[in-house]
Amino acid sequence: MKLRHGLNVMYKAICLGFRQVFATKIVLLGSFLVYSAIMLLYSGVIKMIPLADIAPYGLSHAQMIWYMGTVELALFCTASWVFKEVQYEIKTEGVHLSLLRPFPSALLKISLWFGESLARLCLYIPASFVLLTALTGSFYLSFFEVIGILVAMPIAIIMILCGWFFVGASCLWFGQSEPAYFFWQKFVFLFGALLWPIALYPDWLQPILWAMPFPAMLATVGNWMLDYSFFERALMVLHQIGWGIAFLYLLKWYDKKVLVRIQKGEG
Amino acid sequence: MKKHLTYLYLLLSGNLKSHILDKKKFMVMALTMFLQNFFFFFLWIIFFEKVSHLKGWELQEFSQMIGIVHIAFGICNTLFTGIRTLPHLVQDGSFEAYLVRPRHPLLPLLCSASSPTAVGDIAFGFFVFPVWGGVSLEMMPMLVLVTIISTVILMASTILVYSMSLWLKGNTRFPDQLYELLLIFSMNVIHGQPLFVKAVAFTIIPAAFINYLPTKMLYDFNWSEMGVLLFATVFYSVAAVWMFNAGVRRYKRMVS
Repeated sequence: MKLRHGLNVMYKAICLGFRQVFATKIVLLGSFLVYSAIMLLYSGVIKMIPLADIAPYGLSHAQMIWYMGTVELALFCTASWVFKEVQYEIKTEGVHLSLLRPFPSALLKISLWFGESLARLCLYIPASFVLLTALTGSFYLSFFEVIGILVAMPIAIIMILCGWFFVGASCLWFGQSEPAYFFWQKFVFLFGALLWPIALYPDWLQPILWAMPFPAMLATVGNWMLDYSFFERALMVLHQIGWGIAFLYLLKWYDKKVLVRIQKGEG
Repeated sequence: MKKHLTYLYLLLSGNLKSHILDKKKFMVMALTMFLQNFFFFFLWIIFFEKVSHLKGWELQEFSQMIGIVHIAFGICNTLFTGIRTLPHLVQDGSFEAYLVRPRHPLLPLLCSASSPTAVGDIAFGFFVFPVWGGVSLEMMPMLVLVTIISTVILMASTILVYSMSLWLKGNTRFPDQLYELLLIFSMNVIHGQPLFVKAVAFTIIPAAFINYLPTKMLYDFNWSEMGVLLFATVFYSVAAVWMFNAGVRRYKRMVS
């Protein structure tokens, strides 16, 4: 009964989030405009790279553009400004209202955001695939790879959203969330391999990256666009699922810490 | 003239003092911004380790560009970031407080807020020049000039973008997204881009005047391009003031 009730609450929150996104159509358009601008600029940069420089890593211009386009898509579906929502609620003590509910507030928030992200994903995936095909002149994804992306993307989105929640609530300890936001965002960019595939990172850095959760948030989604063996892909999927579960446990633990902190009136 | 300068000085000093009061917070925010800039720049260091050049641009040219842009953004956001609060002021109606003053509302609005993190941008710009930009002492006068030009055009573009909120009443996010677009274009390599991208960067989103031409002046100076740069400075500044005034007139009509 408890599990069924919990799932029902999450489902309702996801539906609510899904619907909310369409209330601000101009923001959706603006967001996709920013995404298109990024892709336009970076595809220009990628096409400037001499082919001889990336060929040894098994990369082509088109693959790099598709990689980046997919990875950026995961970021664009999850609005980073949601961390401010958490901070605002804590600062204005509006958080007390959400704590009164008989349901973990963090999980409710993540479900709501996930619904929003899902709505953006549904809109942006076809549009971005058209854009990327236009930029590269090719669409070479197999059915297997499309399925891979559709599985990897929601896990990545949940992890990114958990990250924004951690950042937003960090104001209880640091006074403000912005410093944590700056660090977290750049860690995700740098260690998640936002701009360039991990193959282009220095050899000594690559194993360090895979020991962190960041590639599961971004690189794993984009890697479906690159040439990897079945075994390597399976390892990446396991890596992502493992970190996804770890993040949900971390969220549960963190939510309790937040609750205790608020109840004690600290922060 | 002296009266205007005194007024500007008072606005700027008042704006800065409000943030420097909390020195600890100010330092933490500035340091955080410096470090996050470094993390992002590190992505490009990694890139240029494996990629020999981008149509002739190497890490040195890219660093010069990044340095100029960071200083320009840093100055704008330290001294004149108040314009970015305009959408919220319009939304909650508090913009009217600026309109009842006996002075033009633009300057007090610009100087009404300051971002402590922006000092980290300025510091990062100065850090990049000697370490990766290969900037020598002989280049300093030109560097100062192009950085000032870049800052003025960036400021003008920011005013243009946020003045739109006087038309888009109730939407606070859209001007931010356009500003983000300007930021993205300004932080990217315009050199060697396809004609369409260059056309956008030289007109609607004038990032080429903020990053590309100022950087080019450092290693390949020519008077014709400098002339274009100076013309763009005047053009976008006039356009920004005109757009803001037109928006204010519209706003007044709407509230009256």
